[in-house]
Amino acid sequence: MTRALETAGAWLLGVLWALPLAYAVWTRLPPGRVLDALCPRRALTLENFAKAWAAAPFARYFVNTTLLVAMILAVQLVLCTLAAYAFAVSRSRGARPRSCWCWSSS
Amino acid sequence: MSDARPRQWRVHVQGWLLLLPAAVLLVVFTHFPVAATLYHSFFSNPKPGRAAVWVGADNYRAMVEDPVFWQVVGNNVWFAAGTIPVSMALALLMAIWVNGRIKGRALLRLAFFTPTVLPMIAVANIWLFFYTPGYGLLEQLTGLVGLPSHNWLGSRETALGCLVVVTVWKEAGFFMIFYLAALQSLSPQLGEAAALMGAGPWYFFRRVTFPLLMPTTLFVLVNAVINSFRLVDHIVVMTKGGPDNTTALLLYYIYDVGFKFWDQAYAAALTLVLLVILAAVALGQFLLLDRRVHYQ
Repeated sequence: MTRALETAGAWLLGVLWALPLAYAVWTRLPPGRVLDALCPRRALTLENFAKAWAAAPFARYFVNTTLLVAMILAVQLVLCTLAAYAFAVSRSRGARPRSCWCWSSS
Repeated sequence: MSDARPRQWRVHVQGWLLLLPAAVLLVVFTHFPVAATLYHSFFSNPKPGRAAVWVGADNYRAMVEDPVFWQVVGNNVWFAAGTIPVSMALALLMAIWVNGRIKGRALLRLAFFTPTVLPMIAVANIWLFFYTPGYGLLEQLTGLVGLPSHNWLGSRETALGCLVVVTVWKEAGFFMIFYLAALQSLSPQLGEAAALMGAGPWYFFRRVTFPLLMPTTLFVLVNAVINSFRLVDHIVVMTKGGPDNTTALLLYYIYDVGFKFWDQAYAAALTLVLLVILAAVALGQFLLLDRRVHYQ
């Protein structure tokens, strides 16, 4: 009984959490104006997605994002590993305040 | 004896060299700007043909007398009080659910985590459409029940509440990840032992799971408080601080003052107040709560 109740609660919350995104996709599917989205019975089309894809150079944006993230990650890994190693090995009394100080910037 | 000292000294130098790259970036982009902000907050606002002059604490005096500042602080406190407990409780609940054997576990995890992956601006636009008066989703639902139309983001009473809902929805899934990771690292033997002793699930949660999760709770709490004081994206897209400043939070007000009214000196003073609040919260949580938190 409690088990079924819990499952129901979890699913209710899950649907609630996914609803906004699902609704956003749904409203982009109709062929016509925005207000047509309110009518549940209409022809579905992917045309809007094709239009959006053609509206901007997304391939370029994708390359930019990948480059940016790769560079940030590479630098972060090096810097953080060095600093973290220093803190982990250090047994001095100043280590804890110093690590707080680094933390403060995040 | 004569050997120990140079060796220790070398270890220190090595340690500082390891820290150096990170420290340089921190000093240049975090600590220097903070010091500069403090410095500028004691000067008047520079204008073309009139350089900034030393005004002492005038900017701070103006802040104390600024009714909008106090309203914004109040808004931020209400916003924090509305978002932090609810999102943390929901996160813990979600984590416990998707950690156990529940039907469709993977799908549920995905559903809870979806809001975190979406960009803030996109999220705000989706919710803006929900709250739209006339034909938004919320209006359609209340319309079905026969309730009168209501401008959710446009009225003083409901605007901040609407933002709280969006933020809870956005953050709960993110905090769930931390709780889930902590739950998965708990030893299953604890549960078996408790079952042998005849402890009920609620008792087990209250006396075993929750205390063991305290470090995670502290971490999530620090993050939640910091997030609630630096939220700005949703406000820019959804309300721009309106109506009548009821949804203006501290960081948004600083942006308004600094880059719309171009009163950079006052903005510097406000920034410093925000920094002091954040530093106090972080320090207080680390120093005071740390002692009561059970670490392995």
